[in-house]
Amino acid sequence: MYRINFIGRGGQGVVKAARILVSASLAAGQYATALPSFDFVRRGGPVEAFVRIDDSPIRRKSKVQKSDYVVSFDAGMQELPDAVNRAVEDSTVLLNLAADPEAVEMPVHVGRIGTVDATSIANERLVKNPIPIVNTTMLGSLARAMPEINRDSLAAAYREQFDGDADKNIAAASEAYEKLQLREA
Amino acid sequence: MSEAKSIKDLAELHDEQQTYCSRGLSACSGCASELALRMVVDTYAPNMVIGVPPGCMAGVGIHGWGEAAGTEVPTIMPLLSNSGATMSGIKEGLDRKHNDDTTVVAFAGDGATADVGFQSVSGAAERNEKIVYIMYNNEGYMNTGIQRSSTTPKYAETKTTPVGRESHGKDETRKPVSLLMAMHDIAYTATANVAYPLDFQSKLERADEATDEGMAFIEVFVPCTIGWGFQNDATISVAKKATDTNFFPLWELSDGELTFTESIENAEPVTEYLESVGKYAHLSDAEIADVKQKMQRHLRWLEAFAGE
Repeated sequence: MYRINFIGRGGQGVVKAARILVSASLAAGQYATALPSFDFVRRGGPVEAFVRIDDSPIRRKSKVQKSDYVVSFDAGMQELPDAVNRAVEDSTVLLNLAADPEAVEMPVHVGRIGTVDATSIANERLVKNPIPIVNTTMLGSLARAMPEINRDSLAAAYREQFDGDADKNIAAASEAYEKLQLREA
Repeated sequence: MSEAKSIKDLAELHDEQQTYCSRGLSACSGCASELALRMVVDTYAPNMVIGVPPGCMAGVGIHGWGEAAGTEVPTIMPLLSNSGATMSGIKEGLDRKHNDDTTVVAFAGDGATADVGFQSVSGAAERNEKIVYIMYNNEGYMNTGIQRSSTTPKYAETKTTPVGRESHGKDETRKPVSLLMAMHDIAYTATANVAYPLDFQSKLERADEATDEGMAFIEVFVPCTIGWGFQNDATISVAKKATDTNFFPLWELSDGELTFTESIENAEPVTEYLESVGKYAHLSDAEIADVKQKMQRHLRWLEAFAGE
């Protein structure tokens, strides 16, 4: 089973990222579940979403405690204890950050660290928003770090979700796919 | 209690050194309810007790964030259904201790006032309890994900009154809560707007004076960026348009006499307001005409009480 933890702020599309990934996985013939977690419906407040993907039915309904992939939409978010504690020794941590992954210091030991400047990509290709909406962009970088994601199914999930805006979102995801910098930690 | 005569006085009142609210609350950026909460607390503090039932300003206002409380005055969170009764009880308790100079304030959303807690606030009004009850009206259940309430205006889009083939926003007319409260013949009733802070401040002061006689009720208009659909920096301009177009007229009523505190003459066309808010983006011409008609009827009611 693959366990993925999205973390970001209210307004960035964290919950929707999880749903898109689930619908892509289902289309690819896998089993998948999404679970959002937040306190108040509050723009800028911390939001998490948990995805499980497996080849057999998934019975577990709880939050993911140990994530294979932590995808942070906000550069500061990896400092949140909950999110950091979900990263384990062989986790891959992806950050929306305009910096080399060599420069990132994680408070816990993880397997791989990846960075991509998703904010710039989303601002340029999608809408410019005070709180950057980077969900579709960050999913592109996850597709690179996680080869188990079927890119065609992901693109189909974007089309299902966004109608006329799908191509822009797919282009943003592709750019993040190419630009992700990944290093072994 | 603090009095403000100018915007400069207000700025001093809410200065970091003076405020009785946490320096930085955790509401959404551009939140009008937070502004209203700050104005209420800083006006009455320190000699006050405030009750804030579940709603935005309980969760991200008084509750605070991390290890800090949101307010530095005695604060209680009543249930969603019983703010009127809870604050009545606190007032009674203070009376029995011969403490008659503490202002007892409820600060409740429209859901906790007009819907779920209406029997309780109506009961308090019927007993003419000597409390100040403030309803911050963001026209819906915002912190739970933008569901409609009875104060959501007709045609407004919410998550439970969506816009699509089967539904075109809310079907029902908004509940005129302030008028209903005034009809209990309480000591003081007023409407206020965060875009008119000095007017709001003077109404808070008059409300406090009125509690010598009985209950005071203020409905304050607080646009919600995420719930209504406008940019974070447009809160005040949206709020101002609501009053300037007579969509949300400002008035106060005591001793059976209603006074408009902002002129309702020469109002701007209501489309100015409707077009600034995403939840009305789908309105047809016929629906806009209906909105105008409803507004006119509401104004005629108010004018009848104003004796004009």
